[in-house]
Amino acid sequence: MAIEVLAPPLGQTTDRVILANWYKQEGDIVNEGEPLFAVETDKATLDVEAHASGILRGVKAKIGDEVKVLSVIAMIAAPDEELALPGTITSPEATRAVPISSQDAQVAVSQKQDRIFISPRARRLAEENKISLDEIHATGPEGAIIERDIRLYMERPVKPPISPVARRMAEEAGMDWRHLTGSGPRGRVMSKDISAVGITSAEKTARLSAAPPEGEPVEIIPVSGVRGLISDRMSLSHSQTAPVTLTTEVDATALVELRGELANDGIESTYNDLLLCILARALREHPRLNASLDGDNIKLWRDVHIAIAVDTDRGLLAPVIRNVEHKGLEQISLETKSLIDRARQGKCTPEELRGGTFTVTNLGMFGIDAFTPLIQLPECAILGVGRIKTQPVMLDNAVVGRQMVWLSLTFDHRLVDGGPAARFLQRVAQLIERPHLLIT
Amino acid sequence: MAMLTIAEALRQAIREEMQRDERVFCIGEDIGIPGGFGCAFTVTLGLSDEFGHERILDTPISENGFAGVAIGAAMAGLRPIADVQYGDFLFLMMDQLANQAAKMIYMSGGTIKVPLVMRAPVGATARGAQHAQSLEAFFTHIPGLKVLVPSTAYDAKGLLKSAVRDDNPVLIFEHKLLYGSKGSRTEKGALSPVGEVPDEDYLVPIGKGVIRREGSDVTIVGKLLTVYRALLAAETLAQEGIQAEVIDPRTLVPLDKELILESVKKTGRLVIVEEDNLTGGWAGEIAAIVAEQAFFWLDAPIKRVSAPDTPAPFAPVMEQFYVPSADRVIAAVKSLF
Repeated sequence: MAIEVLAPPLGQTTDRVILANWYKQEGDIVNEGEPLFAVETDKATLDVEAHASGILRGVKAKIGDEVKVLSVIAMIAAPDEELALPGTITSPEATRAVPISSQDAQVAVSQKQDRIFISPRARRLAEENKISLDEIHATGPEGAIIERDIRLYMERPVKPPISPVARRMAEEAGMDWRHLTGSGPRGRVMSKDISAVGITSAEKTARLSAAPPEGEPVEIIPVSGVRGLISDRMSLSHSQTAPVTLTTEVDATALVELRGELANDGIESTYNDLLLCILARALREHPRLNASLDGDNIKLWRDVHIAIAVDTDRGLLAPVIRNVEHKGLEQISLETKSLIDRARQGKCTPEELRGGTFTVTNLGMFGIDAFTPLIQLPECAILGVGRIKTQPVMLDNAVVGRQMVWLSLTFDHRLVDGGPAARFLQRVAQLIERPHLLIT
Repeated sequence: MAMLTIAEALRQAIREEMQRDERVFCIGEDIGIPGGFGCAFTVTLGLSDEFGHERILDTPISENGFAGVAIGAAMAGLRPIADVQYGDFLFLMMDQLANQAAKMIYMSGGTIKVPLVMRAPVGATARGAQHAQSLEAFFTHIPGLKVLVPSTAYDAKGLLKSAVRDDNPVLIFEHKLLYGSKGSRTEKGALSPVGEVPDEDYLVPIGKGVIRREGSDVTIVGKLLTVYRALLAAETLAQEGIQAEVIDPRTLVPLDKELILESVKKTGRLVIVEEDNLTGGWAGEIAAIVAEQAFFWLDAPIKRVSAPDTPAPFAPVMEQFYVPSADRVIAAVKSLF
């Protein structure tokens, strides 16, 4: 019996993956446990091992194809095994229905798949109504589609079921949801379906956008694959959160000095590492910022998992340092460096790219001071860190040069109010200005 | 209006036609002998007393012989109603019917008409293979013959009168279990339908079928006894939510194709029930007509319910198995849903 090769489910929000590579070709011998293919998500490239030994058959997806997770992309068959239909994939039912010993049964199954059996009357009705037979469930004699199947299809509710939240969202957005097929049970349209369609629909973009510039573009980059997923996610964040950005300028002189002292003692660290220590402390004290939205609930987290935004060739990635609050500076440095390196090489595992409770993004290296970062859903807040630069500052009635840095905190006003957010930012600023408080 | 059996209705039709037209006479074996049954199933019982033996003409047991007499008489201007005791014996007069009677009007350029009526009882009735056949299909295959299959008393009278007045040779097939024959000729297991028959002169047109039961889900075409089997099946099917339309074509040649086609266009399904053997039978012809002319209205394969391709068995139990039952009709219909 042939074993199905499935596209693996990666990440909690990913329902599509890109087939990045086949390590085996159609007809190759495959050994259980060896890498069979690689998939790419918005966040990582991952090798997938063969879970059976045999001959790779019926390869369905090409390199570069976007495939649905858990869909069958190939089969691993016994060397002498006849697939019911070479080159295509049998449904699990059909596969089960083929007794290997029975030639006749195999023929019967493949015939079933070769063509759609439909009564002349049903075909006539379908053609009159321009109905695609692929979507019709056959209930007639000998498994054929008959008139009632077409009628049933024609009489199906035009409007799919929809959740109250999704309906409200759709109404507010002035969106027509009746043609949607929802991701909920029995095609129920859920809020995420509305936001996904509302934001990514080319139709809506076209409707809302001004006419594009005329002439030939230099390059056309399809908004699909990784770019498409980033696009979806960012749109979702921008449309679904109630973002407010607070900025403050902080005197980081002490932090700069501390970093130098540590280096003198042989402990190399980046400002990011030091910032993670500070954020861990501040987030433990202000759990309203270490939170995420889950349906109708705001969940406050004890553990502090901080995602670090990393600019890579493949786009924005945010690997997560887990339980920062339990880790010392040296361990944080080590892990951060490793994670960032692997993110840049596209080698982070999906696990390393999810589950953050807070995100930090640093554009200081580009000379940026303050900006308005976008919240990574479902998190509550993200801290943008600018460059550290020497600025003239009034201190004790004298103008002195100090190492100053801008912090930009974007929080989701749905989850937390301005006061608690400001107090959190104030605490972060305090710990930057007076890092010795970290040991208290 | 009287309630009559088919045998009584046929007798009334013969009497009325003989009274109306003195050229009409009956010929056959044991149709008028004193103390006889009035042919095998009492149709002509008493008519010899009324019309005398010159018009109720008994013959020796020689089917080929009296067929020749009847056909010759018809060609010469009389209007004979011949009676073959059992339809099976039609084979004995096959040359007379197929080669002479059927072709005469064509071969003579329309100058020689053969206004013959040949009545033939059919159906398996525990009499063995040589007294049981349903031979209608044989004669539908011979151009020049008209073939009638009345299944009610009203149709029996009206069709027989139309046949007598028709200038072509007409075969009327009558089912032994539908006659309602009485006395010693009572048939075991007979349905003997009794129906209202007008006392006055009326004709049932040759070539017009009827819908015996209206339905929307499947068309069942039967003839003679199988009309009743189909109606019985339809009652059961209705209890299960399947509305069967039962069609009785009443005449096989000419055939009311439109009635069948329109019904199939409505229901999308067709089951044909007949007592003849399956292969080369009339059911196959109906299936072919529908497949050719109403294919795109079909929602399921066409099904035939018939006797198997064997002679009728003599053992009554085996015969029950042989003749299409309502249960077999029900099973065939259900296989289409």
